[in-house]
Amino acid sequence: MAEQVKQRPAAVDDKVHTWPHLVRLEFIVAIFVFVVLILWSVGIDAPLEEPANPTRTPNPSKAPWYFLGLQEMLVYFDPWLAGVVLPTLIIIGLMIIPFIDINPEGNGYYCFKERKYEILTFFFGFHVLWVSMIIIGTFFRGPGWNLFWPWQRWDPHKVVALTNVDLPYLLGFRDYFWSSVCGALVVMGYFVVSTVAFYLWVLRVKGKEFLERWGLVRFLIAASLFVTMLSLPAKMFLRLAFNVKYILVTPWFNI
Amino acid sequence: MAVRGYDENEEKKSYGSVFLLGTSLLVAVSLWSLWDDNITRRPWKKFQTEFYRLDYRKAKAAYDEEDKKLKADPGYQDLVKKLAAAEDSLTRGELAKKLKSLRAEEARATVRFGDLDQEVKFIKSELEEAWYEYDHAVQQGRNTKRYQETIQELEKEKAKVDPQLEAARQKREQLKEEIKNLDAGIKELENQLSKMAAERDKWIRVMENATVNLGLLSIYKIPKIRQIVLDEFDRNNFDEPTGRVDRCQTCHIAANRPGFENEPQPFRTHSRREVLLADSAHSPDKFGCTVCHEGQGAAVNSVRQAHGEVSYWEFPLLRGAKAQSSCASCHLDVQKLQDAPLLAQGQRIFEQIGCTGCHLVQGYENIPKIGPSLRRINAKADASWMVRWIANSHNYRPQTRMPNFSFKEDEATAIAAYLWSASKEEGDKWLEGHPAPAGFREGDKEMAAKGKNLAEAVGCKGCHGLAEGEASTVLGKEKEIIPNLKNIAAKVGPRWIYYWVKNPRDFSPDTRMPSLRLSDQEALAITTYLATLGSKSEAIAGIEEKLGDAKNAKRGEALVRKYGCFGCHDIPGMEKESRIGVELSTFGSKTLEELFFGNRADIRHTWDDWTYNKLKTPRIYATERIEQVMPQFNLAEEDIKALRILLASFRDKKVPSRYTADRSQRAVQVVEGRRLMHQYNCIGCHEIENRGGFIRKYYENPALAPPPLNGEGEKVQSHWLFGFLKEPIPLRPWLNVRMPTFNFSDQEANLLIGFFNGLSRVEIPYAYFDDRKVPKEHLDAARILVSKEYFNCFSCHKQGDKNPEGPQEGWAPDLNLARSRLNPNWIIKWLQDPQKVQPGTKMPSFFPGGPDNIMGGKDEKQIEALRDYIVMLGTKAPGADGGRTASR
Repeated sequence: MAEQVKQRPAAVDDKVHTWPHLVRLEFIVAIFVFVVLILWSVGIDAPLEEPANPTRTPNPSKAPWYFLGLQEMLVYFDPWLAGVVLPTLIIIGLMIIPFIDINPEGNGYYCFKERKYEILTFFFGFHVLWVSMIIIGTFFRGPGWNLFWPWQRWDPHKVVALTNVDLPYLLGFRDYFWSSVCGALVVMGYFVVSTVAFYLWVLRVKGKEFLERWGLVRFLIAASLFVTMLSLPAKMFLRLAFNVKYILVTPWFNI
Repeated sequence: MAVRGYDENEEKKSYGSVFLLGTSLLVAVSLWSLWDDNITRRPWKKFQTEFYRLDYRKAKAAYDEEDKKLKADPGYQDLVKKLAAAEDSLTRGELAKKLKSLRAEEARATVRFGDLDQEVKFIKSELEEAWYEYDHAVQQGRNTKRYQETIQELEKEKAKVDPQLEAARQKREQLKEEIKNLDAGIKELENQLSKMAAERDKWIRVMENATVNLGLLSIYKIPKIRQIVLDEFDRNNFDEPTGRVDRCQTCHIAANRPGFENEPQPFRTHSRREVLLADSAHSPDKFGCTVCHEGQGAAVNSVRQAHGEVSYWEFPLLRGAKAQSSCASCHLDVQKLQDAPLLAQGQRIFEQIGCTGCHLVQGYENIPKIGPSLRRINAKADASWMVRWIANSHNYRPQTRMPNFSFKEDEATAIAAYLWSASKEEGDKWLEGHPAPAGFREGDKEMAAKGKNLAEAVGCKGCHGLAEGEASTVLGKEKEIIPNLKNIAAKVGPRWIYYWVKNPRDFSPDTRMPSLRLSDQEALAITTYLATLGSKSEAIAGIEEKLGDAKNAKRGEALVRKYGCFGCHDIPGMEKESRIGVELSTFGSKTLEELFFGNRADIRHTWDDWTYNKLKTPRIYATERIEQVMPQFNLAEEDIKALRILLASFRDKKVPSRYTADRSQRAVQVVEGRRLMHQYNCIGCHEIENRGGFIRKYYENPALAPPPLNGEGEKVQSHWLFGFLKEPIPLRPWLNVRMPTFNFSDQEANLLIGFFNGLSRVEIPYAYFDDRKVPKEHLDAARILVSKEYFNCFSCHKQGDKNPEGPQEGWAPDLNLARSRLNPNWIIKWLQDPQKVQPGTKMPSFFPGGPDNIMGGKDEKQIEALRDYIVMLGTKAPGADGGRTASR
C-alpha cells in the first residue's frame, strides 16, 4: 500500500492556488462576457408586444420559454400525464440519481470515459428530449400550436387536417371494452418488453458483476424511469408516423 | 519539482495581449452603448436643437426688421436723444451730487428700519411665549404673577419701540420719494420708449427663450422631453383607469405657436390653431395630441415609433383627414363640427343609405327602416317592373339608395313572387276599398298641364325630382334620398297614385311622405300628370303565373331571409327578424386578423384598404367557398372615403366625461331631432343650420319660396311650434307652396322642437308676457311708429284678415299671430337688425336711426315699444290666448 501512495505524487501537485491561476482567467473571461452582453443589449431590444387584453388572448398562447418543453409534451400526452405525472417523475428521478448511481468514478472531476452511459443517459434526457422540446415549442410552434418551419410566415388562419385516431381503432377494434383491453395490453407490453430490453442492455455494457451490485430494487426503479423517459419519443414516433392519438383510452385518463 | 499550489508555467504565461484585446473591445462597446443611448435613440434632441436655431433665426430677423423701422422713426430717435440728455444731467453736476447723497442716506435709513423691525418682531415673539407660559400656568392652577410681570414688561418695551419703527419707516419712504422725484423724467421717457419699442422688444424675449446664457457664452437651449400627462384618460384592457402620456411636442414644438405655418414638419404650426387648439376647445395642455391623432405618445426613440407605425402598436398615427374619426370619441353631435366635414358627411350617408338595416351600431340602433313598406306592394307596383327592379335597381334609377343585389332573373322572380303572396291579403283588401278614381282620363293634356303646374307650385319638388337631373336633397355626391319621378309610370298606375298623393298615410301608415292637403280635383290633375311621366313597363311573359307559383314564393322567402330585405322594408311576417350583418360598434378597432381578405392578393393588408374595397365592391372578398351577401351601393369615391372615416370612428373607447364635449340631454335631442329632420327631409324646402332649402332654386323671387329656419328655436314659442307641427296653418297665405301635414307623433313633434331649441341654445322654452306691465306710452308711441308716416309696417305685414296694401310678393306674416307665435325677446333682436338674424330678408332695418321726436329719440326705447305693441296686437285676434289654438 505504501508503494502505491508514492507512485501518485500528482494527487498532491494537481492542486494550485486560486490566485492567479483561476481568478486571472475568470477575469479575462468576464471581460469578454461583458462585451457580448453589451453588444447584445444594444443590438436587440426587449420584445414587447401589445398590451395584455383579457378579451383577446394571443395566438399562440405560450408558456414562459422554460416551460415550453412541458407545453410541447401536451401535444402527445394527456394534460394529466404531461402536466402532472411526467414532471413529478422527472423531479423524483433527478432527486434519486445519487441513490441509484453506484458508479464511483468521476467524483470531484470531469470525465466522460469512466461514466459514458450515465452521462449519455442524462444527455439524452436533458438535451435531446427536454431542450429540443423547448426549441420546438419556442421556434416551431405558431398560431394554433401548428408546426411552422422557420422560413414560413405564422399564418393565424392555417388549417391542418385533423386525422388522428386511437391505436386500438387503427388495429381494427371498434368496441369500447376490447379497445380498452387492447390499449392496456399494449401499454403493459411496452413496459415489460422495454424493461427486459433494458436489463439485457445493462448486462451487456456493464456486466453481471455491476448488476449484482446494483440490486433488484435499484434496477427496477432505474428501469421504470428509463422506460418512462423513452415513452415520449415512442409516442412521438407513433403520432408522427401513424397519426396515433392515444394508446389507451379510459374515462379518467388517456395514455 | 513543482511547489505545491504553484504552477510555474502558468505563472509565467502572459495574458497581456488577450487582456488588451478584451479591454479595448470593452471600451469600444461601452462608448457605442453611450452613443446609442444618447444620440441614436434620442433623435428628438436633434429636432429640438434645430427648432431652437430656427426660432432664434426667425426672431432675430423679425427683431432686425423692427429695429430698422425704429431707427428710421424720427420720433423714436428724438426720445432716445432726450433720454440720453436727461441721464447725462443726472450723472454730472449738482444734481448728481444730490442724488448720490440721497441714495447713501436712503441706504442708512433702510438699515435702521430693518434693525428696528427685527427688534419689534423679537419682542412680539417673546410676548407669544410669555402668554403661552401664562395660559399654561392658569390651566395647571399655578401662580401666574411671574408671567404677568413678564408680559407687562414686554408690552412696555413694545410701546417704546413701536413709534421708533414708524418714524424710521417714514424717513425711508420720504427719501425714496425724493429720489423718485429726481428720477421721474427719466422713468417717463423710458416708459415711452419701451412702449414704442414693444413690437421689437418682444422678439428679445423669444430669442432669450431659445437660448441659455452662460456668462459670455450663449448657446441654444438644452433639449428636454416635453410631456403632457392626461390623468385617467384611458382605461386599460382590465377596465382600470390609466394615465396617458404625450410627448409629441418634444419634436412638434411649435404646434401651438403662431408663425410657423410654412415651416416643414415637425416644426409646423397646427392648422386652424386659433380654433382647434383654443383654450375653450382642445388646449394641448389639457388634451395633448394623441387624443385626436393617435400614435404612440410616450415613444420618442424614433419617428416611426413615436407615430406608432410599428408592429404591436394598435393605434398608429391618423394621417390627414382620418384624424376626423377621433372627433366622434368625444363629440356626440358631429354634424355641427366645421373641421370634420368628411366625418359628418360619412355619418349622413351611414344613417340614410340603410347601413343600419343590416348592421347594429351603438348609438344608431333606433333608425327606422329606410325603405318603403311592402305590406301592400301588390296593390302598388307593376309586377314586371318589380322583377326588374329586384334584379338590378340601378337600371331603373341609377341614383337610388336601394343597392344592387345582383340577383339573377329567376331569383328576382322568386322574391317578387314571395312579396306578392305575402302582401296579397292586405293589398287586395285595400284595392277593394279604393276603386279607380272617377273622372280620370289617361293622357288628358289639359288636365296633365294643370297637374304639372300644380305639382311644381305646391312643393312636390321640395323632395321629388320630376325630370332628368332634377333632385332635391342629395345624399353624398349623387344619391337620391327621395325618388325622381321622371319614369314613374313604369312603376305604378294612376289608381294608386291618386290615393297616394291625396293621403299617403291611408296606404302606408308609417310613410314619411306628407300630405299636401290636395283636393280631389287637385289630386286628379297631379295623377294625370304623373301618369304621363315615362311609359308603362313591358310585361314579362307569363309573369302572373310565375308570381302565383307557390314554389317560387317559397324560394323567394328563403332569399329574402338570406339577403335581409326586411332590414330596410317592412315585410309582412318578418317584423321581428334581426339584422343579418355583423355589428360594427367597434369596427374601427378591428385588427387585421379580424378582417377577412379572402384570396385577394392585390389588396394591401391594411384596415384602410380593406374597408375601402369592401365599400367599393362589397363582395370582393368572396371566395369559391365563402359567399358574401352585402349588396353593391355604387358609392362615389369621396362618399366611400367619408364613410370610411365614420367607420374608423366606431371605436372601443370610453373617454371620461371631463374630456368630452356636450353629451347632455340637449345634445342628444339635437342629434336625434336632426336625424328625424333628415328623415322627413325638412331641408328639401327649408334652410336649417345653413344647409338645405333646395327647392329655392326653382323660385326667381326668394320671397315666394319656403322660409329659412335658421334660428327657429329662438324665434318662435315652443308651444306654438308644437301646434303648428301637428297641424300646420298657412302663415303666408299668398304663397303657392304649402307646408305639408306630416302627421308627426307627439314624440316626433317634441323632438323637433328640442332640436330647434337646442340649435338656438334656448335655455327656457316658455316665456310669459305680462300685458299688465306694458306702459301705455309704449303703445301710443308704437302706434305712431307703425303708421304710414314712419315705418309703415302694414304695407307688407298682414294684420288678421286685413291684407297689406303693397304688392303681393312683398307681403309678410300676420302680425296678429306674433303674440302666440314669436318669442318677445326675439322680436327685439329682429327689430334691431333683421339682416343679422336672417341675412337677405326683405324686412327693412329701421335702427339705428329711429325718429328723434318719439320716446326721446332713443332706439332701444322705440324697439321695446314696438315689441309691446306687436305682442298686444294679437289680444284682439280670435283665439289668441293659449298656445294650441294659435295654430288653428
